[in-house]
Amino acid sequence: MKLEHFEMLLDLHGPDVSGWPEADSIAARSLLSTSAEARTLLEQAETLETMLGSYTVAEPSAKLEAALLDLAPVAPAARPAKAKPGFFARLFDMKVMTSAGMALASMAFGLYIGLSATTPPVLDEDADAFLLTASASFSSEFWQEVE
Amino acid sequence: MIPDDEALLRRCADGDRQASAMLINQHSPRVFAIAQRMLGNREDAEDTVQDVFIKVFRHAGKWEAGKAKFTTWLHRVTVNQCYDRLRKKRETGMDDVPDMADDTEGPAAQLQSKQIETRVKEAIDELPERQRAALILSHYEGLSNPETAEILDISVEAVESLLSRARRSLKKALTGERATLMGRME
Repeated sequence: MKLEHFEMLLDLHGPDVSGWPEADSIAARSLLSTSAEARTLLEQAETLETMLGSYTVAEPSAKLEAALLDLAPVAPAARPAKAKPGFFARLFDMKVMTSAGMALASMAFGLYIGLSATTPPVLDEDADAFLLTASASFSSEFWQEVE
Repeated sequence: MIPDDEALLRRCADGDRQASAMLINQHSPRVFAIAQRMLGNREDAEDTVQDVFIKVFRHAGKWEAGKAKFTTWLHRVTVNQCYDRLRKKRETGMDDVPDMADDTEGPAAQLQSKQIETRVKEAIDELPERQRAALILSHYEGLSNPETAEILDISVEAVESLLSRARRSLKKALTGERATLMGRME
């Protein structure tokens, strides 16, 4: 094994040569027994590994764990029951419903009055005259166009 | 006996608080550790852990047994959440608020160890995101290369390449500290 290849394997697998693929491990041991440079590279890699091990991180705090538990689903039985609406709440609901109904009825009545006021009264004679004119103008050409 | 993850997830979905607490207890330290090393700051890591567990609880009821390993999925969600947070920080131009260094005066060796730890942290923070993720999963979480590959959704060869490049960069970045440490060990 050449020194460059050994260095490449150190970067790839780290300094625990015994954990390398078997063929590489045997070749590396052989190189280490003869090359002082290889031993220096191994030592440097071991030091890097020790240094990486010095970087420690914190465990989750109790506060964080509590916050996480607050995110967890809650069983239906454990959910706070919806408070039954009180008398005034129900009264308010009724008032709202009644008001809405009354407003709707007023609008419908207003619409009816408005329409009645704008449509001119149709006298019987006028209606007959209108129907006569209309039927007279229903030529076959008209129906062809419609079809 | 500790129930397996799938059983815990089912119980979590049914609102079993004890199961949720067990799941948090079992997995939050690892998620938090990955997030701290990926993001380099504790506050962001805490927010990330919460984002990850929101997803865990949201998916608890939909988890399909035997389809994927829960821990693989969890690690993937964690790494992706970290990527997202790093991307948002880059986009908004927000700088990291570094964790305050422990300024407790102690023996010289202790102080030196702290300095080395700070330098290692800085060197890891400087690694490209994918190299950092591969190093954290492989070196710090002790996952195998195939597991790391599955989490990062890349080939085993790509993981090996990322790890090699990461170690080479760290070796270069920490030359001074390495010499100090090697001198101390001699």
